[in-house]
Amino acid sequence: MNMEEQLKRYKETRKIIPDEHHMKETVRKSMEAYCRAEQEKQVTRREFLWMQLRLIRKRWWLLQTLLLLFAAVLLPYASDNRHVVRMLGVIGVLFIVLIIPEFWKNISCDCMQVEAACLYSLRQIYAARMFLFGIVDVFLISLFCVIIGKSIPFTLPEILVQFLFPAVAAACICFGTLCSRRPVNEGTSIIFCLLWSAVWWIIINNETIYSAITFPMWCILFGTAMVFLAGAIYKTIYDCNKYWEVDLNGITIN
Amino acid sequence: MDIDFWLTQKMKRGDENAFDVFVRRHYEEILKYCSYHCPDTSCAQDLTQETFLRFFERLSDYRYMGKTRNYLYTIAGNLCRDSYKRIRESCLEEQSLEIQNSLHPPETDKLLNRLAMEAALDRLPDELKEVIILYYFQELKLKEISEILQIGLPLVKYRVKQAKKRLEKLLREE
Repeated sequence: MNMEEQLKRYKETRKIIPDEHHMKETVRKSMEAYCRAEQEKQVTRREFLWMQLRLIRKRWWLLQTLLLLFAAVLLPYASDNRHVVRMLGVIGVLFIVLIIPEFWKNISCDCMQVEAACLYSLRQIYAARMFLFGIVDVFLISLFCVIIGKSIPFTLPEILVQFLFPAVAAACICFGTLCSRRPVNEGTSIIFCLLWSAVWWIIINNETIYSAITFPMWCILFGTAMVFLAGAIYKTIYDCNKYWEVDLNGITIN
Repeated sequence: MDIDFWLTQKMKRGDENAFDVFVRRHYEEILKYCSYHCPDTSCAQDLTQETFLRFFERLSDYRYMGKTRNYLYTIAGNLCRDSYKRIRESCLEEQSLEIQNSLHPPETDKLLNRLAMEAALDRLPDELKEVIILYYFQELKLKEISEILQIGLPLVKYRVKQAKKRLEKLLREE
């Protein structure tokens, strides 16, 4: 009897029949092992924010910083106070325009479905990105206000009216279009912001309109813009479901 | 697309039924493989279970490359090697007792042959025993063996040839 036959016979003598009980136990323990491993992989909120921070393109923050730096350097040399005012308004709008590409990235790259299938909800991803952008932008604006406050004889209410109001209005346009019912691309949003910049320019240059709006009026307009912005951000975050082809229960959204 | 691909995708989404289908699909084969490394049934069952547990612990990192079965064999092979000494000592004792208890006259020859083959296989170097198990008992192709063991095809052929020669010599000595 040759070797191969001997091995074949040996194999025949070894009858290995799987035991149903052990097989079921293996299935149960396998599911438990998978769930346990997945639970251990859950990251903390801080780690999640850090992950998102690494994903965001830093070039927009760099451009925002450069824009504010450019303004902070040039503003003290402005001969006329009116020029300073004009520049501040335009800078405020441009500052907000620079965040548009990052928030539209998900829609323009068609990555909504991919993100919907990932471990975190689209809502969490958007909220984290807005939070990170908010923190960095508030820091940059605060720094800018402190710098120009020292170099230019501007009071805080003046900065509020000349710089923060056009910026907040531009942010309202940006988030308003992002959460609008009809999908609007980033180009349209940028055009709307620039149109607002032009409107602002006209208001500033028209002494009759400008002087007609008193300081309390500016405060009311600023407050309204802030409330609208908060509402638009809330709507953007809580309307994320509309990007999905199917709802969580598998029923197609019409 | 291979059924394992769909099962892996479903399991990653937490489909309980997919876990059941996947384990049942590969359980017998891995159990047989472990049994050739460890003749004791409970040892083999433990090793098989551990193989699946290791696979599922890393399931979310697993990227389907077309051979899920080979991946299971690699895990099982590593587990068998890791616990080989422990298994060899304990299992052989239990195995001899088991065989002695079940020794009836008509089956004596068969059982003695089996015992002789097991002893000869046990005396083979690990790498040669591995190719014998995979090629003759698990009936895998030489190319699949080379993928599982991560060695070249010529080396697999050489080892199979050498293993047969050595086994023949050992059986004659027995």
